[in-house]
Amino acid sequence: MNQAVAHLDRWMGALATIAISVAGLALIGMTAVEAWQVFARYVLNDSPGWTEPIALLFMNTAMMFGAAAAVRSEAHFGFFIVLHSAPPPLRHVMAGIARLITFATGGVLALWGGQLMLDGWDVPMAGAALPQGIAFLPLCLGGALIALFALERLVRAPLPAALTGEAAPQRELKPEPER
Amino acid sequence: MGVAILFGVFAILLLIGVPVAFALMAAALATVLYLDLPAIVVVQQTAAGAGSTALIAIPLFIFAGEMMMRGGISDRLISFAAALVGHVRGGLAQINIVASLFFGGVSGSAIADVSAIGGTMIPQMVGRGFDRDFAVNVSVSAALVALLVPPSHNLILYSASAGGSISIADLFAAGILPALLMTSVLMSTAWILARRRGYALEAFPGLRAVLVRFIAALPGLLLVALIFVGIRAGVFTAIESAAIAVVYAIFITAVVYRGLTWQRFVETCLGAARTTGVILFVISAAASFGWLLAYLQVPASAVQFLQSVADNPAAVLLLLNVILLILGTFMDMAPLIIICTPIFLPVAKAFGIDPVHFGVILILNAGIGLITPPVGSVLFVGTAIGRISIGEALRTIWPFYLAALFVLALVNILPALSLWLPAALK
Repeated sequence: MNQAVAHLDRWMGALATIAISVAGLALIGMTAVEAWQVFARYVLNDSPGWTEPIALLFMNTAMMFGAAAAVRSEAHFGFFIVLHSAPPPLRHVMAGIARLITFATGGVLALWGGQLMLDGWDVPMAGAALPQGIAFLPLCLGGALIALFALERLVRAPLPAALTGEAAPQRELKPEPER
Repeated sequence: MGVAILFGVFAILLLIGVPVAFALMAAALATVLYLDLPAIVVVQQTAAGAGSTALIAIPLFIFAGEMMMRGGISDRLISFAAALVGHVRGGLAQINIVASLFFGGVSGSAIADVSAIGGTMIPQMVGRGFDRDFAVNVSVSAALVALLVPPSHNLILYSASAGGSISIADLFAAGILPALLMTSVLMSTAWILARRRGYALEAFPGLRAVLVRFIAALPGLLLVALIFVGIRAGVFTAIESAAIAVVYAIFITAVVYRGLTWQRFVETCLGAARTTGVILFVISAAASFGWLLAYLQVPASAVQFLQSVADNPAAVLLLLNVILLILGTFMDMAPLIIICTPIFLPVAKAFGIDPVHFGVILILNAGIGLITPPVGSVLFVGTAIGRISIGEALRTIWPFYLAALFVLALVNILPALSLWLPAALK
């Protein structure tokens, strides 16, 4: 049992590392696209139309994958005072409900984000040679990851990171090892 | 009833410990289901919230700020600040405050400011005989300045939350005088306290040292000039200047300062990605909540309500400040801006308060919330660096609270503090 939990922990940790790495790469991509926009506009005098939708796609990727990784490290903004002061049994129930809500919200984003993606797949994106539906891909994949990480926290039921000090929004600027 | 469900579900979920972004979306879902609207609209609005091009500047400025924080610029800014004000009563405390102003102009983030400047200055202050509580309180209060100087991403967030109708260039210009005022008031407070506690001051290193350290810090300081002048003069858009800021930050930290190793670069990317995810996801989730606020005509009701309890702009402004200060103690900065702007900005406009002026007031109120419990992320980071409890910091922080509230009062009473510079630079 312990071995299975350790395996799960390792796999989920690897997945969270991949998620935050994808978000980091998307940030680099976004910078590159916008830097090219500046170069093309001021040096080549030819402002490309594709940079805006592509930069938005990168931004949404950084947002959703970064948000998913933050679900696992429980680093999202929140109000945890009541949770802090609740007696331990109630605390676990509250944390369980919070993770269940996070799981459900992630699921909703994945499912309906997927539906919106499929609905717009045959429509060309304005400004770029891509399907419009791809704009919803980060929402769909990120939502699925959010649901998965919330489910893992729900099943393993550790104390929330805000209570153990493992991760908190105020420390988001410091590098934290993915667990 | 729809409004009660929207706010009731949100409040209950928040109290349970559901993160703000998920509480916003769940409350929106519950309300949409109650109103018998198609539930997919929540996801459509969430996607639309993340589809605003104005937001692209935010992650880029976060990225540039993080790069500067990890790439060695803070040491040079502290060194320059030391040469400028180290010989003033309070020595290291004055250096801390002035360095925060400089670094704020580079990072635009209070947490980055207290992490970078406080991380260096608090141990130094303690080593030189300053009390830990004083060192922490100076650092966390000084970090507020970063919220007001360009390229504060919170000002961009306010502009985006207002539907992109408020000029980012005006907001950047509007924050400068209040930031300088805050710096002066905090320096005076530190001066009085240092005198009372008998803290040491540093020797003046001479004009030559000031010049040498200024030249060393100049590449970093040029970034804020580049961003501000570029946007203000209409040469760059906010997004373009943010991209230039990232490229420039990489060049300065990696090539000029040689402080950005590969490992630090990777850490920077991951740190910026996590911050981006957390902040932008709240913005995105708040879009469905904001859409419902408009659908349920909440801003119009708020205007009507406030018109019934107050009849002049001064009274409304006072009421808004009290509400924002209270909310600020419980909520983090980004969610507060995103949730409050669509509700309170129409109220401010209805009473003739300039949106740019209101933006500075909102940011200042929310900023004070960052250094007050129960939810004060800048205070938490500062006390963690200073290795004291929050209680220990709070016992002696009140002069700095008074200083911040004094600046807030002046910014409220004197709109010209926020509005003169944007008008003069047009």
